[in-house]
Amino acid sequence: MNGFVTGFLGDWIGAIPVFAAPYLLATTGLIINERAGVMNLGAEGIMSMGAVAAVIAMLSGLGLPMAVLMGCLAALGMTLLFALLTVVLRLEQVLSGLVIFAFGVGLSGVIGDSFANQPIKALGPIYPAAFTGLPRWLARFTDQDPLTYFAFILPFIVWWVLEKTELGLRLRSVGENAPAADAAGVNVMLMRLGAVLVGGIILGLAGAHLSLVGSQVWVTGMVSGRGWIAVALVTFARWNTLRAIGAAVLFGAVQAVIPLLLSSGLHVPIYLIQMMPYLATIAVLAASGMGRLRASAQPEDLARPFLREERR
Amino acid sequence: MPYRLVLSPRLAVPRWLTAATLIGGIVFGLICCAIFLIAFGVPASDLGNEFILYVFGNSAGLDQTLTRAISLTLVSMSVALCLRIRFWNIGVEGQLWMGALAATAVSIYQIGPWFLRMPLMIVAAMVGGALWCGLAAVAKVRLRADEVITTLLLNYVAYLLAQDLLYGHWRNAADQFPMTPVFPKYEQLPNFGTWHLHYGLFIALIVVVFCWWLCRYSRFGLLSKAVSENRTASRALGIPVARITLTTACLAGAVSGLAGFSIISGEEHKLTQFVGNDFIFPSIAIAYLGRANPIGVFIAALAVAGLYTAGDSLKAFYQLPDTVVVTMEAFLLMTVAACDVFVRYRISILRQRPKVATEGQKA
Amino acid sequence: MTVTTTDRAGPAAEHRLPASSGAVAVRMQSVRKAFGDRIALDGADLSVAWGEVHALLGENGAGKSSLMNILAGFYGADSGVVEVDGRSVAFAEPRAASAAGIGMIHQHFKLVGPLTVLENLRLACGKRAGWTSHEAALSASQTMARDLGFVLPMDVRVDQLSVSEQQKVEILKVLLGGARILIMDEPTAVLAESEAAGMLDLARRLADDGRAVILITHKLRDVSATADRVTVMRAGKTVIDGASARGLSSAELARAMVGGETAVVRRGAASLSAQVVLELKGVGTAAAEHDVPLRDLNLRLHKGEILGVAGLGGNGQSELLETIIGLRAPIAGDIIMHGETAPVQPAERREAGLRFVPADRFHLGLFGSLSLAENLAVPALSGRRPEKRWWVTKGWMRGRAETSIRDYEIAGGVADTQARLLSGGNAQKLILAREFEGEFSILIVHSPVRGLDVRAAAAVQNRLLAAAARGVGVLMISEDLDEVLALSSRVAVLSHGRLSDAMPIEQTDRAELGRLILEGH
Repeated sequence: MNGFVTGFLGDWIGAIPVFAAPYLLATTGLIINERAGVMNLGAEGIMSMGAVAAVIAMLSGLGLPMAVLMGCLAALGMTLLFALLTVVLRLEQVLSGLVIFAFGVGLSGVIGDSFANQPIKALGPIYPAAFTGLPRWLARFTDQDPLTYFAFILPFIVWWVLEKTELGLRLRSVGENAPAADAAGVNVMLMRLGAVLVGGIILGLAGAHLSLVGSQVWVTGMVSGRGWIAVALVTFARWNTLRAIGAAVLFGAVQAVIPLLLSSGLHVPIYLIQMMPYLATIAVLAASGMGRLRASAQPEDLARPFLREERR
Repeated sequence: MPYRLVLSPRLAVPRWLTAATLIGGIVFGLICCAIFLIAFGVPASDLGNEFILYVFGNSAGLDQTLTRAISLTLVSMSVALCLRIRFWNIGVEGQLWMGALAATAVSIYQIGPWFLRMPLMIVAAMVGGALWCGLAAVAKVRLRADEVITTLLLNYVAYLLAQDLLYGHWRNAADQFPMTPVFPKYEQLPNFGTWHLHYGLFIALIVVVFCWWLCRYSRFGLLSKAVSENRTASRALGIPVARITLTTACLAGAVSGLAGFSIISGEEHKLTQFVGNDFIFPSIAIAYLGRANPIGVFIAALAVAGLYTAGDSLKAFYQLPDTVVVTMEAFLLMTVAACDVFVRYRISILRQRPKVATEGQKA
Repeated sequence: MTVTTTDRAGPAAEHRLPASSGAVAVRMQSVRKAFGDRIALDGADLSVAWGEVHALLGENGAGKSSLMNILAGFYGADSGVVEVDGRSVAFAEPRAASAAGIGMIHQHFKLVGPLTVLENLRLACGKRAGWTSHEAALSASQTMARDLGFVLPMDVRVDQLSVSEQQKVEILKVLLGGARILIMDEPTAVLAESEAAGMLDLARRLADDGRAVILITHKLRDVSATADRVTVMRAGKTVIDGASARGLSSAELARAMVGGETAVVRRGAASLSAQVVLELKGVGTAAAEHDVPLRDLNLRLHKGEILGVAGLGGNGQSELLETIIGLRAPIAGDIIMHGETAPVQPAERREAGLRFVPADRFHLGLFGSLSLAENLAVPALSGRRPEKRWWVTKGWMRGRAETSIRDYEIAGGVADTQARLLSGGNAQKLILAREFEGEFSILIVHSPVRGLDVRAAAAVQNRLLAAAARGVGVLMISEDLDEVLALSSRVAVLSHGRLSDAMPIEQTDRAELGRLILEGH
C-alpha cells in the first residue's frame, strides 16, 4: 500500500510541470495583454491555432524548432486580427474575443482535418543524463523539455520588465489610465498593439506546448477550455506573473491527476473526475471575486477602448 | 506615414446608415466565406446551388433548415435576452444539456400520468436550464465572478454530467449504446406530415412573441434597459437590479432548456451524446446579427440555419470538416461587427499634419 | 435679501509688472473646431507674451478648454492659425506639443492613480529630461519640488494623495518636462481659499521667470489678483482679445463673459419650521478604498428650509448623498425620516418622499442612451405601485414627457432624443423634471449648478427655492461657498467625513466658514 502511494504521488508530482506549463504560458501572455488594458477572450482560439500549426509543421518534416516557430506565427496571425478589431477599430473587447475564439477553433479544425490523429515525434527532455542520481520522481519533475523550462522562466522575465523597466511603466500606465498615459506622451495604440501581439505569441507557445509536449498529436478541439481557464487564472493570480506560477501549478496538479486516476485501475466515475478543473476554476473565480484584493489589482482601464477625441 | 485615420464618435446615428452597414457587413462576410470555400476546393459554380437552391429551394433542404431553426432560435433568444442586460450568456449548451437531462429524467422515472408527461417534461426542461444559467448569475451578483467564464465552463460541466449518465445509470440496457431508450409516443412532439419538422416550431414561435412583448411593451423590458445602461442610477432610483439580473438570466436559461426539450422530444426522440453540440458560437452570432431584437433574432436564426443546411451538403460532397460552418459564422460576425465601426464613429482620413520642431530649449 | 450669483470679487490685489515683457509666445487666430454637429470654437483668437500671466476667461462651455486642448495637442483644429514662438505649428499629439515646450495642467488631472508620484514623473518626462536611473529621476524631482516649495512624498501612490498634492504632481510633471508655456485649467477650482492664493502666487513666480502662463478660469477674482492681460471668450468666440487686466472693471468682464444681464435668484424668508423631515443620528459609514468614511454625523433637516452643506470636494459629499438615499448602508447610527426609522431599500425611501439630484448627472442620475421619455418614465414604473405593468407604450411615455419638457424648458429636446445628447444644463433640468414629479418632502441635491451657465444655474436655483417654499426640506451639498451663501437659510460644514453643527446663515460669514472648511472642527 505504501509503495502504491509513493508510486502514485511520485507519478503525480513528476507529471505536474508538463500539465502546468501551458496554463503558465497562456496566463503570462494574457497578463501582458490585460496589464495594457486589453482583455483577450480569444485565447482558446489562438491556442488552437498554435497547436495545430505546430503539428502540421512537424508532420511536414520541418523539425521541432520550426514547429514551435510555426505555432507562434499562426497565433500571431490570429492575434493581428484580434488587434485590428479591438485596438484599431475599437470594437467591444468581449465580442472581438468571442469572434477570435470561434474563428481560431473553427479554422484550426478545418486546416488540421487531414493532419488529425497522427502521432508526432515529441519534444522531449533535453538533459536526461543530468538528473540520473536523483530519486525517480524528482528526476521526472526536474528533467523537462526546453519549452517547459521556458514556461517557468518567462514569468520572472515578464515580471521584471513590467515592474522594473521604463517599458513596463509605460505599458502599465496604458492599462491603468489610458488618457493620462496619452497626456504623458505614451503612444497608447502602439503600446496596446505591442502588448496584444507579444501576448498572442506566448499564447501560441502555450498551444504548441499542448500538441508538441502534452498530447503529441492533433485532435480537433483538443485545447478543450484551457484558454478559458487561463483567462480565469489571470484574475486568480491578481495580474501578477509570479503568482501565476502558483496558480498554474495548482491547475496543472488538478489536470495531472486525471490520467493517473483513470489508469490506476480504481473504480472512479471518469466523467465526474474530468469536471474537476472546470469546477475548480469556477470556485477559484468566485473566491477571488469576494475579497477586496481584486479591486486593487485589476487594471482600471481594462477592456475600455481608448479614443482621444471622445468627448461631448 | 503621410496619412492617418481619425475616428470621432457619432452622437446621432441615421437609420439608413444602421441598415446599410448591416447589409454591407453581411455581403462582405458572404464574400469572405465564398473565398474561403473556394480556397478549400469547392468549385465557384456550385456555391450558388448549395446556398440558395438546396437550402430554400427543395423540400428536403427546407425541412432541414426549419428544423434546425427551432433550436437555434431558442438558444439565440436566450443569449439575446441576456445581452439586453449586458450579461454574456456563453453557456447555452450547458443550459440546453441541463434542460434535456431534466426532461429525460421525467421520462425515465415516469413522473406523472402519461397525459401530463409532456407538459411536465417542458416544465422540467425550463427549470433545468434556468438553474444552470441562474447559478452563473448568482455568482456574478453575489461574488462578482465574471459570467463570461462561469457560463462557458458550466458547459463542460453539464456535458460531462450527461456523459456520466449516458455511460452509467441511463444507458439503454437493451443494446448498451450510450443513449436512453426511445421515448413513448406521448412524450414525442408530433411531426408535420412526413417531414422531420415538428411541433417544436410552435414553441419557438410562442417564445419569439413572448420575448417581443417582454422587450417592447412590458414594464420589465424598460427597467432592464435602464439596468443595462446604468446600474448605479438604477439602484438609486429603486429598481431591483439584482432581481432583474437574476430573473432575466433564469428566463434565458429556461429558453435554452426548452431548446434541449425540443431536440430530444422532437428530433432525436431519446437522449443521445449529440444533443447539445455546436450551439455556443452560433447563438452569439445570431443574437448579435439580430441586434438582440426578438424578431431580428428569429430572422437571423432562419438564415444561419440555412448556412448549416448548406454546410451539411458541403461536408457530404467535398469532404469538408465539421468546423467549416462555425468558421463561416465567425467570418460573418467579424465583418458585421467590424462594419459597425461606421455606425459608431465618423471616420476620416487626414493628411498627416507637419511635424513640429522638437528642440525646445528649457526656460 | 437679494444676492447675485456672479461677481463676488475680493479686494483687487496689487499688480506687478512682468519681469521681461517680451515677444509673442503663442498666437492663435480664427481657430475653429467642431465635435460632430456641435461647434465648440468658431473665431477664437489668443495672443500670449513671454513673461506674463494671461487669464483666459469665460463661462463653462465658452470654449476655453477646447482652445487650450488644441494648443496642447489633444485635439486638432479644423481650421485657423496656431503659432508658437513665431513658427506655425499643428501638433498631431500631446507629445509633439510638450516637445515644443507646452505643458497643460488639466482640471481633471492626467495622473495614473495606481502608480507612485515618481513613476508618474518618470512616465511623463523621463525621456525628455534624460534620466537614466531611478536615482537621477529621484534627485531631479526632489530638487525641482524643493525649488517650488512643494512637500511631496515621491514613493506614494498618487491616488492616495489629496487633491492639492495631486495638482502639485501635475505642475512638477509639466516643469520637469521643460515646459516654457504653461496652461493651467481652472487651477483654483479644487482648492481651498488659502491654497488657491498660493497657487496664483506660484503662477506669478513662474511668469516672472520668463515663462508664459495661461490661466483658464471663470473666477473674476483670479483675474484681478494675478493676471497681466485677459482674453474673454463667449460661445466659442473671442470677445475681448488680450486687454490689460487692470483696464477692465469686474462688471465689464462679467458682461463680456455672459453677454447679457446676470440672472437673479431670490431667497425666501427664513423662518424655521418646527417639523423635522429628515434626521441623521450618529451616522457612520465603513472605510473603503477611495472613499471618505462618514463619522458620527448628526443632522436635522426641517420642513421648508434649505440646509447648505459646505466643504471641499472629496470630504465625504458623495458618501453623504449615497447614505441618505440608501445606496450605502451605515455601520453606525440611525437615519430617521418623518419621525420613523428610514426603510432600508432606496425604492422604499423614494416612496416615503425622498428625492435626490446627484452631482454627476450621468453616473447616478440619467440613463444616457435611453430617450428623454424613457428616463422620465423609469421611476413611475419601478417601486411597489407602478403606473403601468403589462402594456407600456411609447405613446404613453411620450405624452407624459411632453408636459415635462414644456414645464422645465428642456431645450433642444424632443421626447425621443437620447438623454446623452443633452447639454449639461438641460440634463440637469431633465433630472429635476423627473425628481420633482409627484409628492415629495425631502430633497437632497449635490452641486446642483456645477457646469451650468449663469442662466441655467439661476433656473435650477429658483426651482430649489420654490420647492423649499412649498414645504420641502432641501439638503444642498455644495462645494461652491458662494452658492451655499446665496441659497441656504442654515449652513453646516463637511470636513473629513465630519459635519459641523448647522448655523443660521445670518450668524456666520465667508471667513468663519472658510476657516471651518480648512481646519475642520
